[in-house]
Amino acid sequence: MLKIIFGDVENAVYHPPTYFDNRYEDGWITDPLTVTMIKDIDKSDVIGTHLIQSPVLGPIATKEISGGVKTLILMAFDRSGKIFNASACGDNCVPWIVELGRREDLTINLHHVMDFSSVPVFEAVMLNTGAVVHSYGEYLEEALKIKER
Amino acid sequence: MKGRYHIVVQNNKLRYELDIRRNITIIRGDSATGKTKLIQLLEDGKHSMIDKPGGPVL
Repeated sequence: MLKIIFGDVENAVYHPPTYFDNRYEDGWITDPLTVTMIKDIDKSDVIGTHLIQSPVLGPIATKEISGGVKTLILMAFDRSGKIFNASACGDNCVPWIVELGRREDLTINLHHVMDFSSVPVFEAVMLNTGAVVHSYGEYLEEALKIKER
Repeated sequence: MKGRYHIVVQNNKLRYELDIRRNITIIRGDSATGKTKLIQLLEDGKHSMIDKPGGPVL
């Protein structure tokens, strides 16, 4: 289940890319889920744990992947209990956030009203109000009521 | 800030051209579209202008 909390939250990581650079595990990078996300978001191919092939930058180190995909990888694999700031992700990461929320319980932090319109139907708990939303329209209606956004 | 400034920053693989009109410019967009890379190039270019020639060209 996807859970969304707006505003400053204890145990949240405001800048996930920096956390990723210092905490990622090699095994995450070659996981099929990561390989697929990097292909979709960065249009790049995982060659190995320490090498990604980018169509724009050429061969790059793992730390040079986009901040958005780093955040997605943390959401998928980090088991520290930290809540990651999804405002570090572009809107093109939204389908993956919803998918990760479908696979497991996932709580994300937001500091802006993220555009979930690319996934018209999804389920999420808005932790600020306790409301359960089932669509982008319901999410938007609920998010606009939250002063912490 | 007065006026409009046309900025070009490039290295051997990337080239960015943009116009800025305010002293604070917010760059936003999808992930993996080159936002951070632009800032890195600007930072490297600043250093190369000051003391280490050979970096990105501004």
